[in-house]
Amino acid sequence: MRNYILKSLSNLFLVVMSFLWVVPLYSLFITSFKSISEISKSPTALPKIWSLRYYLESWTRGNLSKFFLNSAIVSISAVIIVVFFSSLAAYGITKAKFSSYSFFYFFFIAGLFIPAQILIIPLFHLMSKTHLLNTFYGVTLLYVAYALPFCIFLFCGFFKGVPEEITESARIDGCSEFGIYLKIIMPLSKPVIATVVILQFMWFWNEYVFALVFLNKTNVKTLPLALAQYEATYVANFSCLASGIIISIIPIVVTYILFQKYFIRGLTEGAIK
Amino acid sequence: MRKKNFGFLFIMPALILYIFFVIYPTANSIRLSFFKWDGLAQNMTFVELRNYITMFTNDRIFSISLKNSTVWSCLIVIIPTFLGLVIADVIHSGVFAGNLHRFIILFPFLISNVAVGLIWKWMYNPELGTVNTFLNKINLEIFTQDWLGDTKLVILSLIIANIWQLTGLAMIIFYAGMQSIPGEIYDAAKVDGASSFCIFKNITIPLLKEIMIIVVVLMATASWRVFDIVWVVTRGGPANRSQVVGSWMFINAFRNYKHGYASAIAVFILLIIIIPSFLYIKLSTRKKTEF
Repeated sequence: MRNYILKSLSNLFLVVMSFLWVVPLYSLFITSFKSISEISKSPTALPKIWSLRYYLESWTRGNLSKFFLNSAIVSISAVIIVVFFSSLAAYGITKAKFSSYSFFYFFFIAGLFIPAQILIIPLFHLMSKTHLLNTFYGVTLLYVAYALPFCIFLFCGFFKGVPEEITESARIDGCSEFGIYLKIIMPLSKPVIATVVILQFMWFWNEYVFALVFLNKTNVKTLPLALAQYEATYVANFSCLASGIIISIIPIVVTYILFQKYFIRGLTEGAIK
Repeated sequence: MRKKNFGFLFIMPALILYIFFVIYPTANSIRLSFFKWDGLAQNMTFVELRNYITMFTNDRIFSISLKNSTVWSCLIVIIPTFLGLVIADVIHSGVFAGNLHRFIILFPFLISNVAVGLIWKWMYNPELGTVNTFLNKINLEIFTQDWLGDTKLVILSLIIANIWQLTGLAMIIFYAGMQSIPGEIYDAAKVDGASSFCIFKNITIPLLKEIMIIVVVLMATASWRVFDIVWVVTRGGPANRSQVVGSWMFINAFRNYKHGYASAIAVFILLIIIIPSFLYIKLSTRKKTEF
C-alpha cells in the first residue's frame, strides 16, 4: 500500500515536471503561428488559423535561408574534418604506442577544460593577422580544434578496445598503417563515428560565442547569431522570431530522433568512461 | 621504427590545429593578463599583477559578477543534479510513456543557448509573456513580476532558464548509470520486500556515487562558463545586476577594449574550472565499479 502511494506520487511528480518543461516550448510553438494582435489579445491561447505565413516570412524576407545555409556549411564541414583528424590522432595515440603516447593523450584531454573565454582575445588578434576573420574556413577550423579533445577522447576509448591481433595480422599481410586505419579500423568504428558526428554536429550548429566574435559580416553569419541579432533589432516581431527559432531547431531534432541511441551513448560515455 | 614515425604523423594534423587555435591562445591569454592593452596600440604596458588586484579590490561590477556566478554555480550544481536524479529514477523504475518524458526533459539541452535565451525572454515578457499571463489566469496577480527588469530577480530568472536546459543532461547521465546497474540487484531487493524509496536510497544512490560526482563537476564547470544566455537575454543588465564573470569578461574585451584586464578575468575563470576538472579526469580515468 505504502509502495503504491509512493509510486503514484512519483508518477505525478514526473507528469508535473514534463508539463513545466513543455510550457516554454508550447508558447514558442503557438507564438510562431499567431499575429501580433492575436498574441496581445490572448498570449497563451491556441492560434485561430494555423498557417505557415511567419515561417515563410522569416525564411525569405528575414533571410533565414541564407543563414541556414551558412550554418550548414560550417557545421557539416567541421564535422567531416573533426571525424577525420580526431580518429587519425586517436589511432596514432593508441596503436603506435610510441614512448610519448600518454603525454599526447593528456595534452589533448586537457583541452576539455579550457573555457572559450580564454581563447577569444588572442584568437581575435591571431585570426585578424592571418586573415581568418569573417571566413568560413577560419571558424570551421577553430570549431574543429576546440572539438578535438572530446572527439579524441571518445575515439581513444573505442580504439583501446580493438584487439591488437587485428592490426598486427594486417601488418604482417603488408598492409600500410594508413590502409589499416582506413580499411579495417574505421569500418569497425561506425558506432563511435556516429556518436561523434551527432554530438559535434549539434555543438557546431548551436555554437554562439565564437561566431559572435569571429563572424561579423552579414553574409557569413550563422543561425544563432542571426536569431539573436534579429531579436535585438525587431523586438516586436515575435511571430517571425518564434518561427525562426523553430526552423533552427528542426535539424537538431531530426538528427536526435534518427540517432538517439548514439547520442545518449556518447554523452554518457564521455561522462562515465 | 616504422611504428614510431607513423604515430607522430597521424597525430600531426590534429596537433597543428590544436596548438594554433587552443594552446597558443591560452598561453597568450595568460601572458596578456599581466599587461595593460587596448587591443589596438602597439605598446603594451607590463603591469605585473595589477589586473588581478583591480579585479578584487577596485571593480564593483566584477564583484557583482562574481557573486552572481557563485550563486549561479551553487544553484546549478544542486537543482538540476537533484531533479535529474529523481526524474531518472522515476523513469527507470518504469512509468507510462517513459521515453516521451525523457525526450521532453532532454529537449532543452538539445537546442542552442541562443534559442533557450530567446524562448525565456519571451516567457518573461511583462505583458505578453507566458509566466505573467499564467499567474494572472490562476488569480495570482500578486506574484506577477518584471522578471528581467527587476534588479533583484533578474539573475534568478536567468538561472531558471539554465536549470530548464541542464536538468535533461543530468537526467540522461544518471539514467544511463542506472541502466548499467544489473537488474538482478533490483529484483533481489524487491523479493526481499524493499520499498522503492528504500531501493533508491540503499542501492541506486551508493552505486551512482561516482556518476554523481561527475555530474556535479559538469554542472559546476558549465555554470562558470556561462555567457550565451546572459548575453542574449539581458546583456548583463539592468544596471549590471545580471552580469556574470563570463559576460563581464566579454564586455571588457570587446566593449571597453581592456584586453589585458579581460584576459585576467578569463584566466580567473580557467583557474576556477581547473579545480573540479582535475577531479573529473582522476575519476574518469579510474575503472568503473565492478559488480
